Amino acid sequence: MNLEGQKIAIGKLLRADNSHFVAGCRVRELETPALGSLCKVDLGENLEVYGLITNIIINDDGLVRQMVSGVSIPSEYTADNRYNRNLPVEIHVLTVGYQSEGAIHHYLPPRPPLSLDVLYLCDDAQLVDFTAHGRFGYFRHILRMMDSPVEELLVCHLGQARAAHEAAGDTAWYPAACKELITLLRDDYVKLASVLNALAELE
Amino acid sequence: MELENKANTGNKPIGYVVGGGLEANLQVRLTVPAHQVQEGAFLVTDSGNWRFYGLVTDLQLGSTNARFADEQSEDRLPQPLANLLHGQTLFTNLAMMPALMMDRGPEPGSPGYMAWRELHPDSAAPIPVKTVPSHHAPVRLADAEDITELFGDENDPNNFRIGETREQGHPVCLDLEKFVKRSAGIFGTTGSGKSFLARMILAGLIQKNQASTLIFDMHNEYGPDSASSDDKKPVSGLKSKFGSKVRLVGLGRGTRFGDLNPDTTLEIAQTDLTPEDVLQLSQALNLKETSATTLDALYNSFHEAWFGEFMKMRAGAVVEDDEGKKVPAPDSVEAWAADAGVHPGAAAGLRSKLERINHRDYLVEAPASNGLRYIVEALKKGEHIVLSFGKFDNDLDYLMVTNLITRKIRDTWEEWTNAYHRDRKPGNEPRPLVVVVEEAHKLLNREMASQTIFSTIAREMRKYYVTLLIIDQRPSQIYDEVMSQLGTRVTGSLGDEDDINAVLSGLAGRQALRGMLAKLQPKEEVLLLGWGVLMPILVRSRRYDSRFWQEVLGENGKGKNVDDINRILGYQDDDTD
Amino acid sequence: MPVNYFQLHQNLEAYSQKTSMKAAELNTLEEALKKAFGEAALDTGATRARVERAERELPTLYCAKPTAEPMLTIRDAPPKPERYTLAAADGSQIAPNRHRPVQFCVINVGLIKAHHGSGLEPTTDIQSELMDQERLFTVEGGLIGEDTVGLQRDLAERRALLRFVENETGPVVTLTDGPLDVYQGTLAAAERQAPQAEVYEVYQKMAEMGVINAGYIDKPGSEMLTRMLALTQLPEGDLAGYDQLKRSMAGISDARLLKHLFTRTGQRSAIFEAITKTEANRGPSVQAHFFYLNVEQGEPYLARVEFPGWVSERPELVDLLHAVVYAESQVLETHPYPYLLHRAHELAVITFEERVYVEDMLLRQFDQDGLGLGRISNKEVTKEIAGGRL
Repeated sequence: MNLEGQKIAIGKLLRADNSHFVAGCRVRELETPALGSLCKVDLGENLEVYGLITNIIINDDGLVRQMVSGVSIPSEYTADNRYNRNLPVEIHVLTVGYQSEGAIHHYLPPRPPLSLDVLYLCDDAQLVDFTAHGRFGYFRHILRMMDSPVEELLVCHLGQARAAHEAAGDTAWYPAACKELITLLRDDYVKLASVLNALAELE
Repeated sequence: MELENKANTGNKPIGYVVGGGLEANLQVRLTVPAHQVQEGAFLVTDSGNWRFYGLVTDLQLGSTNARFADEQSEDRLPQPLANLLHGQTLFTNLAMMPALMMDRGPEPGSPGYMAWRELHPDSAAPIPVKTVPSHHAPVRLADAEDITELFGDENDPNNFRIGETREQGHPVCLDLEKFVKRSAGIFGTTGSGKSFLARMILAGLIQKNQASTLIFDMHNEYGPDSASSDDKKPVSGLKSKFGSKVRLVGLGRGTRFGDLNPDTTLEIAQTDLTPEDVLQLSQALNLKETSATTLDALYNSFHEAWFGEFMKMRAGAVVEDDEGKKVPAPDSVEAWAADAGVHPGAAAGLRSKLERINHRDYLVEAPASNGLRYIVEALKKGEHIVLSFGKFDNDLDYLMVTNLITRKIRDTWEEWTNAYHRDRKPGNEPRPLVVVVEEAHKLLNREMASQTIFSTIAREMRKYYVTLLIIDQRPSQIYDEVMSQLGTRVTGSLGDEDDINAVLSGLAGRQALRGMLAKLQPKEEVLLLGWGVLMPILVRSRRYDSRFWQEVLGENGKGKNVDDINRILGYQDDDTD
Repeated sequence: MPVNYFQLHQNLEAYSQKTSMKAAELNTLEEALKKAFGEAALDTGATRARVERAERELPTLYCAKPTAEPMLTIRDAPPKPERYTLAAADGSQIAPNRHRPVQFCVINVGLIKAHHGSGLEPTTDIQSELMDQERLFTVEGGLIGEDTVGLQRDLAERRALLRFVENETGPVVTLTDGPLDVYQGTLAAAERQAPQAEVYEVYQKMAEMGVINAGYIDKPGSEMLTRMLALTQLPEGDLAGYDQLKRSMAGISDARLLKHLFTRTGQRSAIFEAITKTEANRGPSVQAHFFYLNVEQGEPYLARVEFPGWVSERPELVDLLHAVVYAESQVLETHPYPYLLHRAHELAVITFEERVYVEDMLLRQFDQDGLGLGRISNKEVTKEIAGGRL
């Protein structure tokens, strides 16, 4: 997936609270982040906040809306809107944990990231470290989400994490994660069924 | 054997406690596939200081939401995901009937251990369960040590291996000393392997020599060798295996055991027959109510010889008297009746009915030898008697003979016991005696129960060192008061619901076993329950074959007796071994 | 505070009636003018000669003059070329405000340049200038006004645009918003002169480079054609009544006059020359010419496109300009307007927050340098509180 060691900046913080944050980036920077990717913000003082990308929102404005109804838009002007205009692409991130003094925790951080803190994409090693810690405690943040498609997020995230773990030689992580999901959702048939159906697509 | 706080060796947990209680059974969530556990499995769970023992009485499939159960996730989802649902949204619960619990105390070496040891200096013994394990206590199949703790070690001289646990083949023993302390029963439908069971237990009794046995062998099954009714294979008999320890007695002169000659024959003197014996047969002989009076009068008139005299009388004999009138002859029944003040019709009726008994070959005026005494002496000496009925295999003979003999023998034992209590001479304690009766429902049904000696023995509970071992296929026909007095019950498969209920009568809290009783595998599985075993247990019965005899008698054909075993185990001072 | 709607309401009916009377008058005038136009178009040359004579006699003449193209010419939009460069510039400003704690002036030019046919995104630039203090004040010592700043801004736009397209090859068209001549307004001639001359220099250089620079006027309200018709209505040689006649014919814009001639989207009118009171050293090649362009799909909506005279001499360049501007306006279909001009405006615009930020920047610098801070006027403070900005 992505190169080890290279810090890939994918945006800057626009706003945040303790359980979510939103970073803005330019369209050009959109190549790397994907739904469900694990990313992190360095708050300094040995504190890093981890999050999962839950939504990537491309906003429009009046100009873009006018162009959409045009007959044919020159490719130069499509490019203009993508790369020149400051249409903010918002990356919405769900906080799933943090790392303090080198120790990973799966509960909410003591404070949220600040404006203009840089958002970095985690590489495979960091993804493996974070997801292997403890007992999938961070799942509960995902399952608590009300207004996003939880199933899709889980599938994207689990797919990426599974690939990273298997590349590192660990084939036991994914079945354990599925088992934990079933345990957490065993009383909610509707949600569990849709999550499992979504996960079935991974096979 | 000391019962220290034992670590859980060997068996891994198969589940954990999730609910239930003392009355309603414990609910255990299975963590292994359901087909690995069957009804009747013997389970152990540890919680705190206590170890609980119980039986699986039910298995239930469950789901957190019925839709998980409805939808075939194996079709819709990839195999690994579908498998993960089992045990979580789809699960199996066991119902575990807790029976016993035992205080294991804290870990040796832990702070509380010494204090606990002071309070419990002796090894812990299992007690009836009074509390419940906590949620999530791990549950496992019993291992060999658990079985041994509860049911004894095979090598203990008192213990007889009756079979193995079905799951893992750990040996299960009957404590024979305890077994004979009360009347016991072996039950099962025809074809359930009841006879083989009986043979094995009898072999064990004889071998361990805990008691003498008097076996009323109605169908020639126990004494001589025979052939199995299923596959016609030869089946060893007790005589051939135990030789002179077992005495074959034939009823009536000329009774033989196939090619085998009996050690002696039994003829019953008419004088042995008492009016009570006759009254036992009221139903069989269809006696009227007046018979008791008539019999009383007869006994008054003739005492011991009453029967002979009565049979000599001629019914309806008349002579002409002086006036030429027809009057009852002096040797007629009517004449005596008039004398004795008994209704002539009643007497005549009784006379004709008793004719049936009169023509029995074995009931003679003067027996050639005193068969009865032979039997009594043999039993007192410690030998074992198998009484074969030969051609007298109908109910009337069976009833009369068994009753008569048993009564005599019990009376003997009663005297013996009373003498022992008076004198207290050591070495003169009466030898325990087990009377083995088949078709017990004929002798112990409700109608007869108050009258036969058997119910008396059952109720007495070895006051006089005599107990019964009843072997029957219709326990529901047996008087329930008698059934409830039984100690150990060894039962094979029973089909009838009434029979199942009968076997469980008198045992509190055992209704959960009814399902198990109905589903026992014929010839393979038996259930042990009752006073003689600490808790009910389902056992795969031992095979009655040459290997059995090898094990029981030892390799060179000679039996290990109690002394041999004690020596081997080092219980006696002996320089050898 | 609340308007006295009641008072206003009293006047509404009368207002409406007057408007409708006026509208009726204008309709009548429109018909008359159309007729006059048609007559004038019968002999374009004669009309042209008339205007030239008037030019000589009326130095402040402001009207349209026909070119060699017949007046009733209507041309469809040619296909645009595959490759061309289109650049646009727009400017905005922060004018000095005596109510603020510090007086300053910022001129901001937004530039955008697209290489059509390349597929690449356009190049953008923003140039911001803090005006020298000396230029903040008039000769009399007061702060310069909006008109002065506007003039400087327009000049800055043209200068920046020239540099922006300096090294371009192939067909190059530039667009600015408004007429080619820079903002006139109420400025005194002396003030206008230097900047205007500089602008003409820029246009000259562009002409030398072959860069077609155009101005785009959306919703044009000018009445240059009407004034031309006022001339044609006068008796031959008699220009005395011109002023009065032109006033009586006021009210009909060129766009309104010509609208009925257009039948399809993308069509342009004939090319006319804009006769304005300008400086003599303008040079004929940079004289402003124009045509009207229908940018709407349905009912015609005319914009005016101005360009230097030298372009008219080359019909292929006129076509190029026509095609490019029309295509550009169609990118935003619902409200046609050249896309790049809009973007240039977007780049140039200064938000209120930015305004405040620049002021703060200056104040901090002054503070750092130990200058005493100026003071915001009380009037201004009150306004800002009311406006919710404080």
